[in-house]
Amino acid sequence: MLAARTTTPAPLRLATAGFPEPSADDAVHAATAMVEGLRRSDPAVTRRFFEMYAGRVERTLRRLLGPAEDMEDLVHDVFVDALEAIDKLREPAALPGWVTGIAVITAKRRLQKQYRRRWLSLSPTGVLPELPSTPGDVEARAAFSSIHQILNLMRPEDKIAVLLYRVDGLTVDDAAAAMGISSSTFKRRLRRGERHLLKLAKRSTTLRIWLGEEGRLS
Amino acid sequence: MTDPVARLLETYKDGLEAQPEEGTSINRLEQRVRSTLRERAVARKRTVTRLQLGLAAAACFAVVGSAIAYRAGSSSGVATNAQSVPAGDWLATARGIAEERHFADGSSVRLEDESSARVQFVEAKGGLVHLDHGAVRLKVHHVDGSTWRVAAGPYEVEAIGTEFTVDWGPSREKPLRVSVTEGTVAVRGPAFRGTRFVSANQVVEVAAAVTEPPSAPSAEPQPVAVDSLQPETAEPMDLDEAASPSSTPGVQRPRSEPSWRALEASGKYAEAVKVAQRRGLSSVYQSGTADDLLALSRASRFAGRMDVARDALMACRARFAGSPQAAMSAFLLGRSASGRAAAEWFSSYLREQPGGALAREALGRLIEAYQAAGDRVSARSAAERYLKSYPDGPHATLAREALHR
Repeated sequence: MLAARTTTPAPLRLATAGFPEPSADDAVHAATAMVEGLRRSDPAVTRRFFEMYAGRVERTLRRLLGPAEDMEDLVHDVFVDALEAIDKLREPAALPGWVTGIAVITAKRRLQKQYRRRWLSLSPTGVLPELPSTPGDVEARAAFSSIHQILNLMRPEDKIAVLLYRVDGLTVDDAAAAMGISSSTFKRRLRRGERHLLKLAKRSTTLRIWLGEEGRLS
Repeated sequence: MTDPVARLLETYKDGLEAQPEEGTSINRLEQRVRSTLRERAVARKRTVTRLQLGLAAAACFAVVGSAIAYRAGSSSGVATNAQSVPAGDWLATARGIAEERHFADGSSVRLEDESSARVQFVEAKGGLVHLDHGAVRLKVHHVDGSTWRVAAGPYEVEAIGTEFTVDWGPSREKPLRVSVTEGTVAVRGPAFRGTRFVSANQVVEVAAAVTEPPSAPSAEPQPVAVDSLQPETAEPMDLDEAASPSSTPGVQRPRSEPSWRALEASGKYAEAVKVAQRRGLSSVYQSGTADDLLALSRASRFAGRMDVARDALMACRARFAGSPQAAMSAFLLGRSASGRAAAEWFSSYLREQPGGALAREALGRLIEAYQAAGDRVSARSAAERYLKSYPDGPHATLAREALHR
């Protein structure tokens, strides 16, 4: 099933505003020029780097972590790590995926911290966070809140695999590269994460109702 | 949509996108990131500097430790105890145990196994190690004006170089052996015509006299000659001889008659005195070096010409007042005198060379001289000084007897 899914456009492709689809050669050339400029600490190139990737990094973090009060700090951490490690980037054309990988690592660190704290029923601040109110119908907001909670009960690596593939819309190979694991390992984590997510959803009255109306959890 | 997972995650995505984005401020983000990068760079520099300093310190400790360990174990393979110097105390080592002492000026002395010595005094720039028997290796850290000496019996070895070993065994066939590892040392004593300089990789040994000179005023065995000179690279240089090559023994002289110093060096004391007398003793008294005068005195004593010996020593004291040779002259004058006169000469030596190579002998003979003069109070005082400095010295028994009289 998964093998077929990886070859079909099943993952949700989210908007990539600000990233026009350049040709492959143009993209490689632009990424190479940007990496060279970053290595020279060129102020103009560095500014352009922030402008191009800040939104992308923030979105990746939001999809993996959900709403977070310290999102700005997390974005900051990603850029600091990226600029300090820019000399280690062996393939300049891989800059976009490389930056995403750093965002994934940053998110994973945060999720692992949360995952360890869940045994103590502690939030990072010791207080259970409240999701911000969102527009839409009541059932949709309740479903969103329940999904957010059960995602936080999953293993961080499984959750990231599911969200990168299902929500962020990366291919198996790109998602595996962003996580720094092989494609086969990624597929195993994705399958395990989906099973766990479905199992947890069945335990949730809210989600059974949300999906039961359409008979999805039977 | 039939996939419940897809349905759940679509709901989740819709909810995320419904959340208001913070809209990260690029300006603020860039400013914060640049600031953090600068702080981390400074922190890394500090860490690297601390690591370098730490490594440098560790390397220094390792080098110093290795050097000390090498020094400790290089000569005989015996165990070594390294401690700070206890000036004034006698040191004695047993078989297989060496002692190493360090001085404040960076110099160090290593007392080899089965040896006995005393760090007689330590000054800001040097000191004196009195070797009773056995071997000491002195490694001198030279600073301006520093003077380190090793006294062994009637001999004195002064450090001009940096590292040398003095081996002294009064009862051996060759009682004195001086070997130099680095630099040069000056060796003085009865067997030398003046000062013998020994350089790196050279060894000088002194043999005791097989037969006593007939006119020797002392019952002590008198080392009379440099028995062996074993240079590994070159002959040790006698500066006195270098200054007057014609006096070098064993060298074919253009003149038919050898110099009195050459005769003295070869043990022909009577002939030496005769030659000196033919050429004019007064010229030697007036123009000879301090070592010339001591050599003439030595030859004269062995030749039985005590008048010439005394005149030579008096000339040395008059012309070279304050020098080690003048002090040596006082000691020799005291040894050839008796009673109060002898006491005055030995007192002069001790006053001029309190840490000299012959200080122990002079202080012991001072007790004898005072006793001979009937001065019990002075003899008791000298005995107290002697026992305080040399509780196990050769005159210790005499000194204790003087205290109990």
